[in-house]
Amino acid sequence: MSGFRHGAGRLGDAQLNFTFDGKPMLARAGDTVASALLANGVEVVGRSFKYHRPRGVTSSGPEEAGALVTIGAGGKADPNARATMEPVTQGLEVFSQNCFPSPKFDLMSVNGLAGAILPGSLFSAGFYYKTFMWPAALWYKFYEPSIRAAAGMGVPPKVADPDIYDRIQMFCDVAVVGGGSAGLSAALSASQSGLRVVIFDEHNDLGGQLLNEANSDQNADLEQWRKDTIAALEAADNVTVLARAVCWGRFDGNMLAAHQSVDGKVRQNYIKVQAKKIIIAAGAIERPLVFGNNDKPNVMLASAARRMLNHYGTATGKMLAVFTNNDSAYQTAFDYSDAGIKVSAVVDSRQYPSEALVDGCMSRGITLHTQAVVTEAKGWQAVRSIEIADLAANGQSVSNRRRVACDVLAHSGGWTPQVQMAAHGGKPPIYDKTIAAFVVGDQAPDTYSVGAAEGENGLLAGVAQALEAAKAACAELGGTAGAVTAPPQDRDGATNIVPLWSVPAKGKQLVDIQHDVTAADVVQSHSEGFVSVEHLKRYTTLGMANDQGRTSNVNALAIMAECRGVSIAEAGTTRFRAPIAPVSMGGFAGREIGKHFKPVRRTPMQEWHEKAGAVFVQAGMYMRPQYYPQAGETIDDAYERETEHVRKKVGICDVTSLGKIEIVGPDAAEFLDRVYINMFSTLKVGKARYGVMLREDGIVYDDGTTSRFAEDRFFMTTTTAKAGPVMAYLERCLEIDWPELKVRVSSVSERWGAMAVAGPDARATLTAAFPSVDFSNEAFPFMGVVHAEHNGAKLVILRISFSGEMAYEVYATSEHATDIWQTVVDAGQAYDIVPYGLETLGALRIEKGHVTGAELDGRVTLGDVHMDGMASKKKWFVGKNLKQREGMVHPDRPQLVGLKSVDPRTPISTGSILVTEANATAGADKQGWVSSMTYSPELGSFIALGFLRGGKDRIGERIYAAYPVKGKNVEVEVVSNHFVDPTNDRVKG
Amino acid sequence: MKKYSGFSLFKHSLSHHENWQAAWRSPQPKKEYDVIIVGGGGHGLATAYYLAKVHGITNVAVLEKGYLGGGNTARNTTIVRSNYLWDEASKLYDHSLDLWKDLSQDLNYNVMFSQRGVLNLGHNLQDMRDIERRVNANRLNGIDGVVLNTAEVKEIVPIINDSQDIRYPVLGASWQATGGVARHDAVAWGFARGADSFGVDLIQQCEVLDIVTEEGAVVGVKTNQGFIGAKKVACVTAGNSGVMAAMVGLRLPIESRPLQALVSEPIKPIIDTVVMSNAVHAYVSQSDKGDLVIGAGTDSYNGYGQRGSFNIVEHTMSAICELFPMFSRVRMNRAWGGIVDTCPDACPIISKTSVKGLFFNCGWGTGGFKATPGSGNVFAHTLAHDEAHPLAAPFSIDRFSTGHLIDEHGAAGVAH
Ligand SMILES: Cc1cc2nc3c(=O)[nH]c(=O)nc-3n(C[C@H](O)[C@H](O)[C@H](O)COP(=O)(O)OP(=O)(O)OC[C@H]3O[C@@H](n4cnc5c(N)ncnc54)[C@H](O)[C@@H]3O)c2cc1C
Repeated sequence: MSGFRHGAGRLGDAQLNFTFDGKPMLARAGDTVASALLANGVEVVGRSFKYHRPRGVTSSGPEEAGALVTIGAGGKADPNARATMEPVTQGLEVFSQNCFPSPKFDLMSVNGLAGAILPGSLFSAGFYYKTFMWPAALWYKFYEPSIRAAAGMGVPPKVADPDIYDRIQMFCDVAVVGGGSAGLSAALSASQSGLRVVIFDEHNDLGGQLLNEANSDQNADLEQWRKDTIAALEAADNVTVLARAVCWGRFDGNMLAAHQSVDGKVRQNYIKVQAKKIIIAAGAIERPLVFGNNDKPNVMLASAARRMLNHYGTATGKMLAVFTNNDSAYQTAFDYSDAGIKVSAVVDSRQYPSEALVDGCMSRGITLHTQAVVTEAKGWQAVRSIEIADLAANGQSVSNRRRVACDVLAHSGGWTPQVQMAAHGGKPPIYDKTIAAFVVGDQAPDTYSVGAAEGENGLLAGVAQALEAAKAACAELGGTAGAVTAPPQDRDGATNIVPLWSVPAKGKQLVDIQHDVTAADVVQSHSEGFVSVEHLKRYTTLGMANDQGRTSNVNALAIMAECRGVSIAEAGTTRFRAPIAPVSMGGFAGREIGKHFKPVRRTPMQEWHEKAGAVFVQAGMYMRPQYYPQAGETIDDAYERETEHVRKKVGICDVTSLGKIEIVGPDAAEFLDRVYINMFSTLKVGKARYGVMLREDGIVYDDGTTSRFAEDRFFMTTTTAKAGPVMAYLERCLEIDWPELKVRVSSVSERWGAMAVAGPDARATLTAAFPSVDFSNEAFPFMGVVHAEHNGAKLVILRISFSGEMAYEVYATSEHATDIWQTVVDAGQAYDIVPYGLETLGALRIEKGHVTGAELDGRVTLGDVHMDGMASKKKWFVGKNLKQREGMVHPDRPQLVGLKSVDPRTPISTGSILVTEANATAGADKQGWVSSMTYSPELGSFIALGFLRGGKDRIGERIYAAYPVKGKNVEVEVVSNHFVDPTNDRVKG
Repeated sequence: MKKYSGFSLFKHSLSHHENWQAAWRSPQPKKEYDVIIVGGGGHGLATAYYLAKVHGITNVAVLEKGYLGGGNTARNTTIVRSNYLWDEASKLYDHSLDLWKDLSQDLNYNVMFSQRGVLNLGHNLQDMRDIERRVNANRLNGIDGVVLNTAEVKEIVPIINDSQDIRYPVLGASWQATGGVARHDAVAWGFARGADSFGVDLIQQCEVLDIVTEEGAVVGVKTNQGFIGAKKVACVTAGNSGVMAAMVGLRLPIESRPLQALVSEPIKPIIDTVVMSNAVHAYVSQSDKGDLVIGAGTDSYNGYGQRGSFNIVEHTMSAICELFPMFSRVRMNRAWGGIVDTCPDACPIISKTSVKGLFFNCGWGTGGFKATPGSGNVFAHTLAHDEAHPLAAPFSIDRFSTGHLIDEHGAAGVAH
């Protein structure tokens, strides 16, 4: 118990109740979980990753690497939440993580104890790779399961997330990342130009480091400036203020990505902002110092201790000590002292802090130790005292160790500008010695980084930079930025830092407190040859924690640079990648989950099918009727009935899902000649032709029927699966390969509903349905095309057949398609017309030996499917050159064959492998496979299509369809793939 | 090389781990080598290791333009399996799987190979047919595999969304129990340390700028550290292979595209196997550290930037939340991209070239990590004997002119 409520800060009056591990606690409106836990005296919030060392609140911002908690329970449980970023709400449930039974007494902390007994931990850098190998079997049985059991931090929810996430796309002229003094000024100034401005801040309260300032009479004008500036932004119509919105990445084309937490039905908004100019005012993050037990609860960044007191009205302890290598932390000591809290020491590693700071300490009675360091934080679980010592002039050793009492240690190792967002723009940051940190330096296009984010810590100087940037950005966009009153007080912000990368004393000194990476690990990595920063990261897991190395990287790089004897600049940084802060996956998915994952495309007749009791099946983007069961029918009963009916009478099938593309222009015929293997320039107007396309490498790409509506106008159909890809491919050809061709292609898939009407009674049915059309063989022969109108619907009727029966495809304008369908169905009553689904479509085409996607799987040549004869010898077409390769025409290639069960009642499973031995086992000679199968009512047998090595010449052979997965073996006879009507008489009938 | 053991770890902990030996030397390049391997990724390092260990060829240098194992080796989702469709591919990957089994012991470096099984989900009837065909073929090749129905998938992955009322319901899966994952960085480091121990020179920050030939034969390479002579040069440079080939006027049938992956924050164990879904496009496993390791798709554009388009990641997230609706609140922590080198038939090139002494091992695309030991092993043989290892022979670059392709698209679950 060291933290307590002290003063009001900027919090509201409302009292809130929440629980921590089930214990009731009090908070005030505006508290974060971190400030509230501290105010309730909680010190140990959880346990660390590897050693299970106690962890408490270390910061007041997104860099929090200690106080990770689980918020909420059940489907709403949110593991690994940073306590510093989560607002307390009434009734909030907060849980500690990675500890059992409680954060104070954690059984797994023996991991750490082993470390405490041995001088160096067993679990040093790379220890996994050096052990757990003997005996080999134990790795699976024992070592790995134990490692896994101990892995991870928070417990993920076990049930579905009930919340909703939205995606929002925004556009603006100027985007400002960061709502501190610089960001607020830049946004206000830019907004006065009338341009559209968006400003993000990840905190609930805007103001950035202004929130660290005491909310005192002395600072009243400064606080007023903050409030006025925010109010002005919120009042402006052309400004969008996005609080609680973490901007986590920058992408090409000046796109910023952010996630905003919101309260209400939607949990988060995923916001993408396309900005013309980007002002980065994301501030700086305070760095920890590296000394013994610097990870102990109540060791806290100085600025955080200050914000807790001044903004959240929470004193972090009853007795504060400060450890610093720069000026900024003194203000924490002063504010605590002025608030009546005892400050037992300021320990400064520098020899000569400025007179003003020395006076500041003296006047408050604070003991100042210069040229001194904290060697170790002491205390069983949280800090109860510190050991300090004098630092030798060369910085290499310490002497005169002594104890100082305190229950909170505020430390500062300097400030790290938040350069990530600028670095995403492509420029690696550069090292600035005066502030001992990386800054952006060379700005990416359209980007201005300002204020602390650019290493300028002075309040007025940072604002001046921001206003300059706003002015320049607006000017380039043809606007004039407005004049904004500067803050009424200054903070000079000079840190006068003298780097101290680690304290030269033994002890567990952490650089990455979340992953328990120590300074010793960095040194060890170096001696083992892992000296590149990327190796260091991977060997030790440094910087992979959810603070993305914000607090750890610079310290570790500096220690590595020291080991290597190179400058920090030379050691360099790891690559900056989005996201800079973790974002929930649901936030990316937005509403594109469930039925919206990929919306189902519906044909105009979908409702008709639903009413008719169809069972649906996935087909590309569509759900298509698979079969229409009648009372008591199984799927097999249904499709056998439908199939027989089509062969004997007439059926109707929805084929709307086929891709439909109009190809128009004087070079349309030439274009088709290039993309199809067969000739289309010779096709007569009013005729249709089956066409096949190859890929450049000579493999069959797609097939379909293309009709000629006019000299310069064609209507192409593609398979359902390739509707999109073929369209994209044609566009690519025209844009990149043959820009000289005068052709336009447009997808008209949505424009037409389509139905196949097939069977011996198809002609009679359609004649009854559309009396104005002459369906006679003479007027409308096989492969003919007729345009018609019926009750306001435009119709295109093709006489083509996929089933092998006399058949027509009727295309009707979408809005009329259901009426047309109904018209056909009504007219077909006289012939007992039945609707049929994909199962029957499949059965009919297999009986006929036609191929579909199951056969044309991207590996098949023309020869494999006996279509080589179709390829024109008179012209060039895509794929012609490469299809001639020896391996593509080799006689041993698997070729399309028909297969018939020797025992007609035994099904031949698709996915079977064709072999010549009766009971094939491992090592068998695989000669082919089965691609599709059906029961053929016409043949009274199970039949299949498959590919068989040299199959063309093996008709009549008996082989086996082996299905080792189920131990099945079916004897089959190799037959022609044309099972039914091989001479093709019926279609012409 | 000082061996690692439980005792050595204990001993070093007594001296604060200050006295560990470097895992490899940092030598200056010699004037000439018998073999220069360009590219210090897993495949290049494994090649060097087996050249030295199996064939006794130790006058070898591995030249790496960045840091060892920093290419795709450091960027992949570490899935290991061998259930490929065609004989040629499944034999090659199965050879690799065999080597994986004792790799930690062989290298004296724990590569954390973990046979936790790989599921390839099917979401529609055609998926299931393809899965059945592939597993049948696997079985006839002596590769373990079964086909599972939805309930059986649910037994292995209890958290999977098995509702049949979703857009792409899980209809079943193939299951290879011997598949799994390994610790990718450790694979590179283990091979590097092993190769170094045989005297192979590993030279980092050494970029090959040109391949020098005389009368149609390789004589060495020009690098940013000067000319280095070599009797044989082996390019194992993944996404950069097209650029290497262009140095000697060759064109490879390879497209280099960004492929992305990401990890979540560490969470307590929740998923114990590798789950891959081609149809909805997502791959996930959980590392020993507790991170969910998730693979996304490739961009449809060529590029060398080691970063991909973000809409690809968005789509992957949707797919993950579809399959595992409880992951919606879990946070993505880091994302990255690698450049994958994909051949038109989705199979690698392990081959001599028309230039004497110049070899290529590339085209592993989205799925070469699993092949690291096998690839190095057969490529070392090919280099040592100047003749393809029998398992490598079908993967000669000639196949693109002869048309004897080995198309592993689609049915093999593509990728990874
Ligand atoms: C996101 C992603 C996920 C993946 N997931 C899987 C998976 O789950 N399972 C799987 O099996 N595979 C996966 N892969 C593929 C796998 O990573 C690669 O196939 C494999 O790692 C390639 O190894 P490599 O050694 O050939 O290439 P790399 O590791 O890329 O090594 C090539 C090296 O060559 C160096 N180099 C290039 N040019 C030069 C030059 N001129 N001079 C000197 N050096 C040079 C590079 O710097 C690099 O280090 C994935 C790939 C990615 C990107």
